[in-house]
Amino acid sequence: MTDLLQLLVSGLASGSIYGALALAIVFVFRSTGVVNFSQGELAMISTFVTLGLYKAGAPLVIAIIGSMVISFVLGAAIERVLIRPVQGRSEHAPSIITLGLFLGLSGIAGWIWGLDPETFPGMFPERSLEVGSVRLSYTSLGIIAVLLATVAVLYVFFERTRLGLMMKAAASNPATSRLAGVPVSRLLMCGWGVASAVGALAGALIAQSVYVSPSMMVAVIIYALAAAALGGLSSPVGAVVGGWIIGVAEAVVSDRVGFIGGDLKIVVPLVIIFAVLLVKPTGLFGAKEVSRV
Amino acid sequence: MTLLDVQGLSAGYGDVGVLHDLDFQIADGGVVALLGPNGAGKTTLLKSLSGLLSRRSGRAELEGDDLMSMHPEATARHGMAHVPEGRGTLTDLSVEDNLRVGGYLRSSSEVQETMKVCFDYFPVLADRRTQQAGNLSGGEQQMLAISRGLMLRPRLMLLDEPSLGLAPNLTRQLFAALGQINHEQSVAMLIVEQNASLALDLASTAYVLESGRIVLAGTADDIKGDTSLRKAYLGY
Repeated sequence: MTDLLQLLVSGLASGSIYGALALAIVFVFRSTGVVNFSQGELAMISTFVTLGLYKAGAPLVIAIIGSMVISFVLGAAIERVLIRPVQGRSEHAPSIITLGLFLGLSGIAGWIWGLDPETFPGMFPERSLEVGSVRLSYTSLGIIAVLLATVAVLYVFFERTRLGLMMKAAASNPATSRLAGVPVSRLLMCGWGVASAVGALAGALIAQSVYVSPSMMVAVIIYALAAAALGGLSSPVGAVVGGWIIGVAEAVVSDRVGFIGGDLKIVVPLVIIFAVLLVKPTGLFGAKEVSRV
Repeated sequence: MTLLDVQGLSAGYGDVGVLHDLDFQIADGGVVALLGPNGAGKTTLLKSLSGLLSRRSGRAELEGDDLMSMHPEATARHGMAHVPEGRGTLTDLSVEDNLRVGGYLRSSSEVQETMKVCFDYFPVLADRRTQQAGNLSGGEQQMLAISRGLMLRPRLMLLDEPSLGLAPNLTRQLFAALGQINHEQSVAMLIVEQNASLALDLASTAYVLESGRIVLAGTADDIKGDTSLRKAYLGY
């Protein structure tokens, strides 16, 4: 029983990491209607930037905030230069561009920073909290707390602020929004920027358990896309819950089901997605797609 | 007073010209019906006025401001509300949020005020204010689309087939509301409509468009009163 609880907590912590990156994916999808496959690689670049600022002498918190600002600009620039010209020409063109970006960014990162893995400074104390016989590391708790704070901020942003509402409108029906005077193109750019900033934060969390290298996100992005799909692609809360389900399932199954172990565990999220989407095609928290014929 | 003055407007898609050298005016507070068969270019005309279509030439001025250089955000700022065909609502947002988006250019007190006005014209929207727009009936969605335009507090509304797909009694209700809106809010209207007789009852002036050219222009009463004209151009 104790073991199971322990697995649950470590599953929640790794699930929070997937959820954090899934949040960035959801943010782009919600504000621009595009699935950004390069979100992980963007976050990887941001993590290198954070590390660079830290090495240059900035305190870690300042380095993360600085990297979030730089990432905002980078994300907005990518939207304007690479996504904008193809948007509206074909429904899938922007997503294909992001696949190209996935490859391009990892190549660029390798060229700039090399392939040797680097360690990232710890954000939380390296101690742990003993609750009964369960050991909860501050790092796990910290990751979960940062994620919850982020999702709360995003929730309030989309549901309670005017800017959030206009972003939803711009993604939902650009033409109608423009006819109401909403500056759609600026909002789409802003959406990519905010998502990249969230990705920078996710990158710092991910780097708590992974070495910083151009390939650090390759596995994580798959879990994050799975989490986003599971949660319905448009719901921040869904992204987090989706991340947790996958994290916990992965931890429990790889520990308890002998033949799966560490090698086959990447199959777990796929099986979960398949099962959920079979029963509920819009994901657990996805808005019901309404169409009138 | 002329609100909208169009001279020599041509427009199209890519290499294909759809509208050829159109001249027409809309008076301040006036209602103009734009009639004609499918494919005549009626929707294209509305799009080129609101800026949704950018391949256009000629002159179109709204109170002296040149519309030809404006994109949709700018025409909205100049007081033009285009309610596109097929009910331009934001289907995954609530009714109230749709109206808030419509009032993007207005202050929050104006938004509250205008929302009340919309609910007075279309009480059913007040009952459904928290519902997702996509779950409304066709008629309700049309009311929402018109209200979304009203939230802009426009000088001119461009309405593209407001009766499309609606039952006859609902269409009559909708046109009654449009008449009321025209009077009480002093909003001029350019209405594209298949139901010519209904549109002519509401409008003071009418233009018939065929293959991108204006083939008939006159007061609504003249056209209504002339059976041969009606038979030749409007088929009733």
